[in-house]
Amino acid sequence: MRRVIAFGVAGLLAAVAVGAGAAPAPQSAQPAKPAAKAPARLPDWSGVWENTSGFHFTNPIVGGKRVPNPPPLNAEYKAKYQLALDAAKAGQPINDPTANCVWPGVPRVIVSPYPSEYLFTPGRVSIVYEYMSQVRRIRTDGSGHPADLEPSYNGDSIGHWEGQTLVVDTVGLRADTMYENTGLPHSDALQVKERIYLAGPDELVNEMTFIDPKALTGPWKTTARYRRHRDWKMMDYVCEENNRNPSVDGVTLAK
Amino acid sequence: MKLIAKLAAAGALCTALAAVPSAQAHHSFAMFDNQKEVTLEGVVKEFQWTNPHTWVQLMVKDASGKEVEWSLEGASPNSLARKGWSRNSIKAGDKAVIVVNPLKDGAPGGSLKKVTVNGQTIG
Repeated sequence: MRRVIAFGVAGLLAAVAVGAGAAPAPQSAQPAKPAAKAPARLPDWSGVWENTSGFHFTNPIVGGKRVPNPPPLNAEYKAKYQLALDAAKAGQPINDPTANCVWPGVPRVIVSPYPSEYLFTPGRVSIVYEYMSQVRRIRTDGSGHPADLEPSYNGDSIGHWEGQTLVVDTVGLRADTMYENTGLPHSDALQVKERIYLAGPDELVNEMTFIDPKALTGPWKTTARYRRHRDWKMMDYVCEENNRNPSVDGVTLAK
Repeated sequence: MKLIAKLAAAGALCTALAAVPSAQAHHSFAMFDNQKEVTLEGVVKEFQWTNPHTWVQLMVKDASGKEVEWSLEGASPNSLARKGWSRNSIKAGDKAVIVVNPLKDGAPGGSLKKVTVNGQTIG
């Protein structure tokens, strides 16, 4: 055993020596700041988390009851949203990208009705969602948002720990995803701020603030809650498996 | 419609039905009339235990005695499995009584609300 360890150490030293002699590491545009360190002891967020607050930011379930939470939309986006509401009322909901298995994106995935799990690795928190097998990657290495962001479904997320609370900031989101299946629109200027923490041994809370200067007249707040199930397993969710609700010409079908 | 009225009147049967969790994950359910419930009795042709939604293809005799195939959309296997369902909960040939919110356009389809198979409650 001792021999093996000795070889192991020798190998490691050799690797370090090679590394030192190699070309200098490429310069990162956003160097990590050593100040942004995770707490010495991270909270226990293991297990599988069930969303208990429903999947409508406009109408979340709080204490078993639905509580209306109207978004402070500006005139332009109010009109856009009204079109979606009217279409749904007429039985012909407007084009919902997820009806064609396109990713829900942030923030919709945060309140998807299927469970999620949290993975902590150095400099990073990953949230894995069962719904459409999504992964959100949150850098906790002190780096900032890149200056020029191409809009993406889950955006660019940076986070840091304030005590046992994970604070996340997400920008760089696409304008063609919706908050929820009522068709509530947002713009590509949407910024999602999250504060995620344990409110009890098996209750995780995500306090969100949406800031969208193109669509909202002010910050819009909402809270999602999750219940821990240590015995649940994450399951497959392949939306393309048997999708009989495609959206064709802007109308979601049931065939 | 006569059949539906008769079944709806059978209160004892209705109370035995199991509630199915609503299935609004993947898309809007605005194509279904959630203010209206229709009770269907028929024979299962196929049970599709699939994402993003499960489906029961149910053969139902209409008022004239003609068999009509209904497409009944349920929650995802993920949701149902966590409520105690499995891929074997419903099989081809099963006699089923199913309460649905029907399609608004009148086509033979609906959103599955409650299911009893071979006299047994599911869920």
